[in-house]
Amino acid sequence: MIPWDPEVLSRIRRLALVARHAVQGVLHGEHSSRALGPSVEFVDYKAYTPGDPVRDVDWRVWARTDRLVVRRYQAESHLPVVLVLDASGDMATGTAGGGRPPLDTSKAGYALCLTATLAWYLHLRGEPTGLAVLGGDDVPWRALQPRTGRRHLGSILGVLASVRPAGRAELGRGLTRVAAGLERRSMVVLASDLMEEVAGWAPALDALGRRRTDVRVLHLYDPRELDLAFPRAARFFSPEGGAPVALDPAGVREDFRGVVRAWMHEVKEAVTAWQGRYLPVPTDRPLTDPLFRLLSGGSRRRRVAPHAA
Amino acid sequence: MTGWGFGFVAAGALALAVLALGPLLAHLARQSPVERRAFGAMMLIERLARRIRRRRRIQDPALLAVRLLTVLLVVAAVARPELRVPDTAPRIGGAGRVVVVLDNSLSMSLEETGALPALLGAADAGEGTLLARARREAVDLVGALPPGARVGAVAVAGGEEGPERLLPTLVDDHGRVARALEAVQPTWAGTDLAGALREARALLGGEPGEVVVFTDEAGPGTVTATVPEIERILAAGGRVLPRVVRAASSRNVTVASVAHGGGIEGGSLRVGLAGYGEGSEEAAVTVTLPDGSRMTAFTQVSGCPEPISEGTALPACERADVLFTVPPEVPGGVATASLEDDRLTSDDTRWFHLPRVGPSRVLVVDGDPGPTPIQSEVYFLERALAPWGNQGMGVTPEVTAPDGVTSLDPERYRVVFLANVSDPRPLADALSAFVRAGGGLVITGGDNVTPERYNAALSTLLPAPLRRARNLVSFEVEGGLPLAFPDTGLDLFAPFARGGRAGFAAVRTRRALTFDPVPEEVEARTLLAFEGGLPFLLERTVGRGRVLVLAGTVDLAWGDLPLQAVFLPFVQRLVAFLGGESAGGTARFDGTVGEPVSIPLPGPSHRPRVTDPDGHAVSTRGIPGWIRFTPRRPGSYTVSIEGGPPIAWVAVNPPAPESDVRRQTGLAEVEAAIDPTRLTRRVALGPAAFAGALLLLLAQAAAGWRRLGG
Repeated sequence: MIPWDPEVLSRIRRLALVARHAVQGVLHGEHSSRALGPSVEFVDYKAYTPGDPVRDVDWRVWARTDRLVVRRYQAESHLPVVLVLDASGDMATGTAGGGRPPLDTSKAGYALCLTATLAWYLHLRGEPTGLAVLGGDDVPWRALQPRTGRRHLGSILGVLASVRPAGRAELGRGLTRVAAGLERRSMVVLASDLMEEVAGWAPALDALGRRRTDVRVLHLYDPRELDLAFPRAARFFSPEGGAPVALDPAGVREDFRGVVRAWMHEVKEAVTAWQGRYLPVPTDRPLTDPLFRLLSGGSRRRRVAPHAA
Repeated sequence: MTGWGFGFVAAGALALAVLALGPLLAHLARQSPVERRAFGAMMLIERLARRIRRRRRIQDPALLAVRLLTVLLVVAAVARPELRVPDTAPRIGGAGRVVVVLDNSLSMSLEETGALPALLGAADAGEGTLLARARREAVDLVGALPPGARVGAVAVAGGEEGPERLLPTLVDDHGRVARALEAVQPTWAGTDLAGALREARALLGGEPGEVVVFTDEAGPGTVTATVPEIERILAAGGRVLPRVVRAASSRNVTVASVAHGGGIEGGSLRVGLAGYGEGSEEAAVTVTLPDGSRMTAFTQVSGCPEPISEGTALPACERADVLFTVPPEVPGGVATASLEDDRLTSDDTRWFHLPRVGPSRVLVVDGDPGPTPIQSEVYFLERALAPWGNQGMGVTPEVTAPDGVTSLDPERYRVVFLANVSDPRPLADALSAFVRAGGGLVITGGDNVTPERYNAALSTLLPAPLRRARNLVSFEVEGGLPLAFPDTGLDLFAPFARGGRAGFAAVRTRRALTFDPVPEEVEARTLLAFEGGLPFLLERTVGRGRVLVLAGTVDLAWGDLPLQAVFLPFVQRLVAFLGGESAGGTARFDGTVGEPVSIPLPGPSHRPRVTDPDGHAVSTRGIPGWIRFTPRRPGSYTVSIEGGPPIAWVAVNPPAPESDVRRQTGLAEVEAAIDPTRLTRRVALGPAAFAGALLLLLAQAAAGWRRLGG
């Protein structure tokens, strides 16, 4: 069993996951579908064009301005959520690495807890929840389609409990594969350290955006790692392979901070360029912090995506 | 002045430079850390590596260079490097004793600006010359000396024997020294810097002091001769501070030599010109003969490029020879060859001896003229002297009676024949002076010869006292006493070695003069004798001349000598032997300004007098048999005896090295060669190298501390 933090679970229960996108599912609930349709929640006006339902014409506006406009509404629906977990070898780093990571130290452990927490929450909310694991070893199932139910939740938890970080995630290819499996508008939550060149996964993110998928990127990083807070020079190597690099952290710390800042900015720009939501998640913070920010941020982003027009 | 230098006191320590291989190898090896650390952001590390790789391309070589420099500086510090820089001259007068040496030699009369030649001796003589500038600078230097400094002054030329002290001792009165310096006049003397430094050293009295030398350093070997004196001055703690005074362009042409040789008419004069310095120029050469006649010719004279090798007495400069043809008859004496040179006029004239050119003049004093020429005592002698008459060839005899002789100038006559003169007493003094001055006297016998008068009047000239003539054979007997064969080993008879020697044996003499034994103190000898040993021809050397006494006659009264074939060559040989080749030659001397001239005297009883070219008496120093004087200016000097004709001529010229106005080895170089460290200040660089290495180490440590975040 996954050692759940009772405090986290209690705080999660107090939050409501507010979906930002309207989905075309049959399940109406608390989620606001990004798709426009017969709903009670007014969104805005648009100029009347032939084919628009006549009942949506606002006659009072016509009477005042002599212009035909139609009213648009937001429909509520169930939103399938796919949790994408980066299980590459780099995720195993932190204060410890190798084997199945401790859930409270490495980036992978933090990501597992965070993903499981989201799955539990979504299960409580009755949302269809799927899971995709990118990279890693000992993965029973690479992908679980969004479903509901306790059994399904058990499957998710089982996958998470058994995954071992290894290999390369290949985020671009993985996200493309996830996008191909989505049948309707949904939400994709990616938990990753994004240690791949932006040019490799940004196109896949672009593809998800074009499918009107609500993409949320949980960018996990170890502050100690990005600060090169190591006392001695060492030969640094990537668990994913490649030649080691001899480095004296003290001598390059300032330069490395500059590189990190530039990279973080680059990542954020790439995510937000396609209406995705970028959430930096330092692994030295409690799990509740990124969850609160993830779940509360949705209400501030209730607007029409550029693709809806 | 010495140049800059660099060296190591402990050069062996440089072997430690191999330590520089340490950082070099470390840099090349660059040991990797042992610890391995898995890192999840290697992508960023790679980005970082690309970022810092460019910087490392610069920083790493710089770090290596700094480390190498550190090691090398440490090694250099151990090797104790030192920089040798020319020392700055201390303020003159700091030692409290200063001697100013002013070069007033001939070369200092070189005009600086090419102005018109200055007339030496004039009130403003030397203005615009090197000496004028040196004088001004010397006076200025004395004026700038600190009060209380004791100052002396020495002129390089001017004394009897060269350098002279302008003041006897060091004085405090700087104005007095300045006035003494201002009074220094140019001279024709050579540059005796060694003597001047010796005087300066004597003035310092063995105490430390500064000798400031104002000179042009001209003349080969002039400066190198000062080495011993400079060594002594340095040993006494003193210093020699040269103040070189040189013209912007050193160019000079001088008459280097004059030689009289054979040729048409009176022979040729080869005047050699020497040019010193760069460039060439046309020179007008004028030869002035003793009789005042002048000849001028032009030639192109090139110069000698600088520098020349030190110590060359007369460097092989470009020379130009000018040939002059001497007139058929020129009186002997001192002539001049001069040229026009507007830079250094003092050496433009060269005085030289020109021997008498033309027929030899022989004075024949006829003691028995007779009623007709053929009955004259000297009839045969006159023909033997001039077989072809007075045609300007060979010997020109002048026949005179004894009372016609007034004076006997050795330059006019080479030989005097006293033929059967009855009373020589009126001629005694003139003859004595004539012979002592180099003339030749031949006394022949005859019935008029009175031995008592001769012995009384010419005792200082006769090889032996005369006795009465006596018959060698009976007059009734034909012929007479024959002569013995002459000794051809004697100079007089040397020409007869090839033939004619037997001719003397054919001479028959019936009567002849006889002689007392030759006194031991008299330098006399028998040149020819009769068979049996009776002297026929005696010789005595008197002064620079000779006296010959012929026991027979030159007419037919006592023998048949005039009729013999050997008579004519014998008479001609007598003239040549007595003065034809050397008349006056022994009385001609050459001298150099500033150098003593010693002349042998014809006899101890004479009191010679030396006059300079202007006719003024020159101070002399007498030593037995010699007279010695030091000419102070060039020209023709005359040595004469009171009341007599000149006995010697001295052609005095300026010292030849003074004409070479090109740059020679300087005093500063000599002083530096003697003691290279004296004019050099040593700056130890070891501490600086060590400090530099320490600073570099600290800088590296600080950089490392900063990198560690300290």
